[in-house]
Amino acid sequence: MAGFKEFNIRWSMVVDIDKCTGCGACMTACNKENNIAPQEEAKARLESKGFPTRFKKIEWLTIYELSNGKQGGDHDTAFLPRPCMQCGMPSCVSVCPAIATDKNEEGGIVSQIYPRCFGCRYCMASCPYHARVFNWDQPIFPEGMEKQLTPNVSVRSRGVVEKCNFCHHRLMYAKDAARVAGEDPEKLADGAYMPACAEACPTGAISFGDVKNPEHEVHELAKSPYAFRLLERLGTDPQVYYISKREWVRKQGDNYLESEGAAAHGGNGGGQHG
Amino acid sequence: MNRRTFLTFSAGATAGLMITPIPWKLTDDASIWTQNWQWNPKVPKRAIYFAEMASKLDPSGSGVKVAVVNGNAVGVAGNVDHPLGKGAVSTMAAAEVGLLHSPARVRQPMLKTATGFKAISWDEAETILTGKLSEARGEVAMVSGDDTGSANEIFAALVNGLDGSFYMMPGETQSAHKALEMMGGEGRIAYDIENADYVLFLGADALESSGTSTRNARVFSETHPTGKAASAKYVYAGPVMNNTAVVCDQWIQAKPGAAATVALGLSRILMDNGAVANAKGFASFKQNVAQGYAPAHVERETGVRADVLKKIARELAAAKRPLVIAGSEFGQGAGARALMASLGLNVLLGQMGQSVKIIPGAPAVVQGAGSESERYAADVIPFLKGVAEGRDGAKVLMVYDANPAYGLPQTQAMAKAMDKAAYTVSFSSFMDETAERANLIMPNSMTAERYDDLYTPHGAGTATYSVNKPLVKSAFDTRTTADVMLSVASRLGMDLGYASFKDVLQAKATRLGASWSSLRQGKAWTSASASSAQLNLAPCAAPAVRAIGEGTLALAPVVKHNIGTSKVAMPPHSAGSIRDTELSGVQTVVQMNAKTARMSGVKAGETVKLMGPGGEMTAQVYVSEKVMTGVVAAPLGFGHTAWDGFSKGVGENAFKLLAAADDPETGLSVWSTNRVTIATA
Ligand code: SF4
Ligand code: SF4
Repeated sequence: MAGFKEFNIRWSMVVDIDKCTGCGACMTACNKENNIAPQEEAKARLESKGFPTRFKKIEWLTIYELSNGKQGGDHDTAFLPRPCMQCGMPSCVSVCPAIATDKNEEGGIVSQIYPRCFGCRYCMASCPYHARVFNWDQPIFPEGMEKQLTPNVSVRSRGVVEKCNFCHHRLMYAKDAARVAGEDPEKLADGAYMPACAEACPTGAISFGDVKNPEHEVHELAKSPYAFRLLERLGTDPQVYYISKREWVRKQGDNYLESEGAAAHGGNGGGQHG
Repeated sequence: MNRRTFLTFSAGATAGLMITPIPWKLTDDASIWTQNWQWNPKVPKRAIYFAEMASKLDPSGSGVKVAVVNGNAVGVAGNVDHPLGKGAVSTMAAAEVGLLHSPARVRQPMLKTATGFKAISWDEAETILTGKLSEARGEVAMVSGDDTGSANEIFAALVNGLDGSFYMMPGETQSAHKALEMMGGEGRIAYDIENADYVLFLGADALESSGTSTRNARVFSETHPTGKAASAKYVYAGPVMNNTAVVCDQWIQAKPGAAATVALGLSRILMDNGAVANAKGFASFKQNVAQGYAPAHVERETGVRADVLKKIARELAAAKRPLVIAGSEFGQGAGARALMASLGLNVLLGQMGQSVKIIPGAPAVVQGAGSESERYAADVIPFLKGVAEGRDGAKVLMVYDANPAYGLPQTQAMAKAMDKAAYTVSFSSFMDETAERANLIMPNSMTAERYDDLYTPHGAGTATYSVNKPLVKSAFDTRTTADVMLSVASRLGMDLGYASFKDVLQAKATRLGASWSSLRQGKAWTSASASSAQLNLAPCAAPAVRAIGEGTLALAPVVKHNIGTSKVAMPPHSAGSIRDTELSGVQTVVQMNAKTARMSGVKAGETVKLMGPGGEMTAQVYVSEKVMTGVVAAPLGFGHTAWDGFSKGVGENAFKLLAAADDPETGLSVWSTNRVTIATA
């Protein structure tokens, strides 16, 4: 596989699964921030077309519910919010014939350029995280609701693929703010740039920052013995980390065999094979 | 130009054509423009301004910042400086903007005619209401669901002036007023969760739908730093692993409505181990608790194992700043008992004035409005039942910030009351079930469009006060109800002492000693003052409320704010966050564990009928170990028959199953212990 650039900054999310209540505030914030059209009777409409909902719902952040599969008092549940992983080795980028998605900006966010996308959906097929969604329909904003569009993100047409970009416009705002304050826009302070989901989360389950910057909290968090990444052994090198003190949760983060223990630490591990 | 120079020129032009980006740019443009459909809404190109506001839709009263572009509210951001928001954006706070242009909004005053609603002017609407009220003197009633606003003072003063009756919607605030009244106190119950090192939630879904949940969630976050050891232990006791239980350090399975009994069971263990309280009524409390509530008895009644109960009692006793927060699992129907029992337990733990404080209620500024606790004294359930059955007359029934035709037990009877009352007036911003049944709708502006205030929701840590001013122009021809009612009062010849609602808020700020100019900028006022009055423990040990209905399973209604509250239907931007385990297609999904499903003879995915003492509903079964044995969990918030395409006709309303029983000692109806029968449909 072709190598991708190494960046000095690596914008990363660390999601503490043990703190996620599954309340959905992050999804609501994401939908509003990124001008995702509210979907009337979304589920009914989608299910009636016979598609599994996850391929038809327009959402950039999905919250999965995990169970340890035990019955009675031993049972345990966890919620796992899943944005785009902004993979270090993004398979979506390699397969895109239109270069509508790329990983070439400092910080490592995988871009999605809607006007270039012609909807072949190769990227969706290649993304192991189901992070991408396709606009099967023209987005419809109930009358008046278009007045509430934010200036941040253009409205996407039917026929294009979209995905989470860590609220890239917020990175631009943060850099502008740094420039105005006479600071170095390439050395943002911890917390200066924060995606909408991370800001909204009532229980503070989502931390965000530059994992390569020792002054950012996520730098340490990603090194926690409880940290892991999803499907790490595929070699996609995600920029999204998860933390859970529960071994069964960590174990569900990858395709472990019965006999294998969960990866204790995902920071370096299986990045190379896959 | 001769031939040679022409050749040079054209060769150059060809080379230039090869090098110039124009053809590539044109191809690129073509691909851009083929997707740049003109009917795609264009996003605004202006700067964003942020203005502070305290959310009135969010029952936890969280303060947020509203993003405004070009005079339109476009988003909601966190406000770290607000004591109840602490930088988070709850789903309901986000709905403050998400619902502004909801298709369900009532766009102007509406009058019901034989053929449906017709739009009328505000002047006409006020004239009609004034006429109706002056004819109905003595038989006017008003119901308000606003637990934090001074608008109630205007309404109560007006209704009292007409010799009518004023009711507050039931919920935690009413329960708290009643509990304090019975224990000889007055004001509000405040929980200092920030400084607690051991927090026990009994029933109360305190990180999602109970009390100041947004603030509680932030404090939970601070005490449970990612990647580090927790500085406090959080324990949840209830029938369902709900949003609170799922992140707590421990979930204890306890039957629905068990909070009071568990609290008394814990008190008994503590007192058996020598705990005493220097409090009024302690001897009688001790005696009554000693007569019942032995661990084995508590285990039978609540399902909480005796050894677990003992362990929790030990942990509570060992903690430096323990805190017990009790309530109904779904925020209503627990009456006053759960709170009284938990206050007794907190006193035994030596936490009165520490983890738990009694803080002053909002001072009244409108003459004739009565005190806060007077406004909460009457129980609306028997009144509405009476109206439905034709026993109580209400010539004019007005409803503010509430949807009693949807969000109360015995929903059908409550809806019928709206039909039976001679004249119903709704002030709802939305075409909800109550508005749909009203004779006259005078739509209130939404929070971002109106003046309003927010005083200390139930369970806040200190007294807090926020004032909202209009941040955006009203999207429709709506008005602030408090102002409308001031105008109606003056048409009736009543002088409530104020020309506008804004003046009322200013007077309130003065009474509180808060700075009006900083309040106006959205800064919250807080006060550390607390009452040192002793509470009487004698009434705390009252026997638990019996089960309601004969069904084989206990019903655990579950509230999640992304599905909606008892007032507000699912906000459009939250629609995607509804889980398959809550809604399948348009069918409500109820959850039970494998053992319960086996016992009830139902299978996963099967459509079943639930029959409760209040009514019936159909639902699909999802088998989940997140529910304790013998319990069926049903989400509240679905089954709207009004509202918009996001919620109308989606699922069924589980409120229908519930019936309320009266509890003569406290004078508050209860419905947190309903039982249901399940049958394959
Ligand atoms: S998660 Fe999927 S869409 Fe995102 S970068 Fe990785 S492969 Fe691409
Ligand atoms: S807002 Fe936070 S707690 Fe709620 S679902 Fe998202 S990550 Fe989980």
